[in-house]
Amino acid sequence: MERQVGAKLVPPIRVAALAAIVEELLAGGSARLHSAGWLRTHPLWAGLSRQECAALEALRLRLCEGAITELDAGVLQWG
Amino acid sequence: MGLTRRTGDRDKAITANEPDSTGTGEAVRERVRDVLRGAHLAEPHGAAIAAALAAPGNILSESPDYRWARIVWTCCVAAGGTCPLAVPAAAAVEIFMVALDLLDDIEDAEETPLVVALGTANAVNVSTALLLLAQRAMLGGAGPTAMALLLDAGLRACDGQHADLSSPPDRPRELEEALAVTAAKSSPLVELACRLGAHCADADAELQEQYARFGAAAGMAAQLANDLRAVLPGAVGTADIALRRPTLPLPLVYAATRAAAVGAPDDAATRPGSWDHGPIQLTWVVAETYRRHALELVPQLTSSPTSRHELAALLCVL
Repeated sequence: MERQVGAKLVPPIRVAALAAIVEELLAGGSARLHSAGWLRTHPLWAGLSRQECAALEALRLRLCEGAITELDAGVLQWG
Repeated sequence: MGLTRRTGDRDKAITANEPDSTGTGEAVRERVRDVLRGAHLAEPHGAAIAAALAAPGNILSESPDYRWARIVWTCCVAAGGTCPLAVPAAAAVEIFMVALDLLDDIEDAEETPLVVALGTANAVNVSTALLLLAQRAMLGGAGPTAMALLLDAGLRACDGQHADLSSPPDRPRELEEALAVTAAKSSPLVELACRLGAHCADADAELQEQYARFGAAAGMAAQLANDLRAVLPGAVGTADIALRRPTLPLPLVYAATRAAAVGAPDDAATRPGSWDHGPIQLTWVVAETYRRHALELVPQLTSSPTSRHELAALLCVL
């Protein structure tokens, strides 16, 4: 069986779309961060997976509470 | 290579040292000692290998974190097996990862106490012996199929490492490429640990594949969290390692992409100033996306509420 470079079991992520949305979210300042509906109006939102949408919404809420911190990275860490 | 215990941009990934109430960790340690004794290595070679296994956090250290072993036995139990069934494979994986850690140190030119004490040439030799010991432990304790899984995952991780190390340093990067390199380096090893756990429980091929998928997503979340930690304010030393890598991790590639778009300088001195203007947030979102993929797989892996909790706890998120 031929091995493949890369990881075939890793779920695909639309990282460029996520980057574009994150950039615009941050550019909109506090008003955009606190807008519960802004993310859903973004043209790229419809093409995202359920997990990507949920992660973006989680980011928005996290940023409403303050900056991402070491604790937030710790929450993601393995083990 | 991928998620390792002590190395550079990945060293903070493995800090959790949760108590092992099952006693399985101690059984894994004893199995590793048995493997080492059974190899009848000449001194001082045997002592050098023991020193590598006893480095901080490693399986024979005073405070082992059981990181890789815990994944194997947790997945084994969740898939319907028992902790003792997982011990031989867990021991082999722990030895294997110590070997890869040591190779990572050498490839990154990190002067860790162990590498300094051994010298580079002997560090390579110790790592080689550890790889062989891991195979001996797997073949003798978990069987040829488990051995084949170990070898295949190791080769795939080497594919990713090679792609990383051989990438020209001055070539513009794409976000997708950064993520692909992360996936190639990081996911095979966590996939392996999860799949092995299911294999030890005698799960069928389909269920083993599901465990591997869980590992792939969880491994990506963990690696990106490491990358994130390397660029968060207050990170000590780790970002330097990340910056030396030929293929930059996601937050640094994003920083470079944004700088190029506006014609701003992008180097080790200026880049940290931009990290909080997108790179950190994007990396967090991508890691969170993978974490959610992993969590959504958990109900398919086991019907046991306890095991579901323990699988999710591997992600350190509940």
